[in-house]
Amino acid sequence: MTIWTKGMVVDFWFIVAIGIVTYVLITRARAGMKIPEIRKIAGLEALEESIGRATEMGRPVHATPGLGGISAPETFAFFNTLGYIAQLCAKYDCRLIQTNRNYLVHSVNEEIIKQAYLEAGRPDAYNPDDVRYLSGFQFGYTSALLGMFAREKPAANIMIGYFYAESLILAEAGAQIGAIQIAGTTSTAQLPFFVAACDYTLIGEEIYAASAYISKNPVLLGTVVGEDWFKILVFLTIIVGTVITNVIADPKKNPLTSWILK
Amino acid sequence: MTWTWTPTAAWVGAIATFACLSYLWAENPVFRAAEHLFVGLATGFGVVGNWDQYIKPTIQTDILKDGKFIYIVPIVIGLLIYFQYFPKMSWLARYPMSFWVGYGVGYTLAFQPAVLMKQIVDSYGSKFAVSAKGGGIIFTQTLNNILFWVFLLTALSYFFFTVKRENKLLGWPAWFGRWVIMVGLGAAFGNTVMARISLFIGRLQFLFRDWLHVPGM
Repeated sequence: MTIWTKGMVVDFWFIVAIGIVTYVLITRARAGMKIPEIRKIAGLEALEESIGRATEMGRPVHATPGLGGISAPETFAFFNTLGYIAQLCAKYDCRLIQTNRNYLVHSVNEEIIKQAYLEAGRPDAYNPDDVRYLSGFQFGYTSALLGMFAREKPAANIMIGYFYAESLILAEAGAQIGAIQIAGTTSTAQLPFFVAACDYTLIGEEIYAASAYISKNPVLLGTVVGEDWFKILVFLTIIVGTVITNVIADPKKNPLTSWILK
Repeated sequence: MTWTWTPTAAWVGAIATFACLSYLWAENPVFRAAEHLFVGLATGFGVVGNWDQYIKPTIQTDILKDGKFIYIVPIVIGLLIYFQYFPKMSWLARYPMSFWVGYGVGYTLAFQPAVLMKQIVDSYGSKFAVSAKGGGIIFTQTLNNILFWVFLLTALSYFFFTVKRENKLLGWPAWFGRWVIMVGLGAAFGNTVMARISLFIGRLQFLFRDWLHVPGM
């Protein structure tokens, strides 16, 4: 009996190696040792500016994780960014409205915002009525959010998470009320709409790097850097694999392929 | 089974359609009524659906009839969430939340990663498409393969976060990769806009055919 599935052995060790490298990098970052820096991500530079603008205008900031559930990786990226947004809002004394479609995500977001206000030394400024569960249905949520946009006119609209067909409707409504919009998603079908209708868009994996970049949290930084190194390894493997495949007489006998898929 | 519109249902549908579309003019009481009706209906459906499909069968069938008393444990864990409304004991609400978050991370790690290595192998296959008949190279297919390879690598290099844009070796592929991504997104935009227009046409068909009974629709 074998515990290995054919074609998955290298996959397994690859994931183990990512885990080990990431652990080493996190440990180094925690110990204050040097690890590579993350490059600038344009949309995040604008985050503080948009909240500052909302404060000056006396209008609220709105943040949503979209429709993703509690197990969606995009929702976790939002959790990390939300803590930072809530701390900034608490610091500037700016009202933060956070809306949800998923009741589990709603509960977690409530805790994150409450904790962020506590850490910023402003627990009194936390308003539980501003963390809202709107509807479990996609367009029920969307229509409620449209109404909220029109009535409360947030000056900054931050949408980071997983979105479906409502993406353009929300982004258009945000543009109509003149909000600075920062959006990010991994959904390739919805990214074009955010690029077209929002001021800044985090494309795909940038939403995961975003939370590390803004928080400078060693755990997140180590994770992003570790993952990046393996992306470079994948990049080089594709180049080497292409060279071998196109040089040898029979591409089916590529030794790299045989090793990878053993 | 085909759906037939009764006159009342068609009128309700038409009024709701115009109420929703009135948002294009401005936020107004008619839109607000439709919005609240929609949210209320969705909530009502959600509560009834949850009760009928999950809570009632679990209690009636699984626990009381089949004696699966172990199900009481997750129910109790779930009910702890309501302690957030009792400030002195709100810490209890964190247990179900930590359980859900842990479950989410575990589920994602266990079931969502794609088979990475197979994707890598598939992306570096032979770039030269050879005709099965004469053995010559098919130019368009070969060009397509090479473009795919170039676009894949440059788009991938855009997502290197530890490489600065000023880097001479990997800076320009990342810059080109951004353009590649934008072209891809542009194509997706056009595609989705077409799909949205077909949805709008569907709404117009409802209004003209099912509501107004315009002949020939």
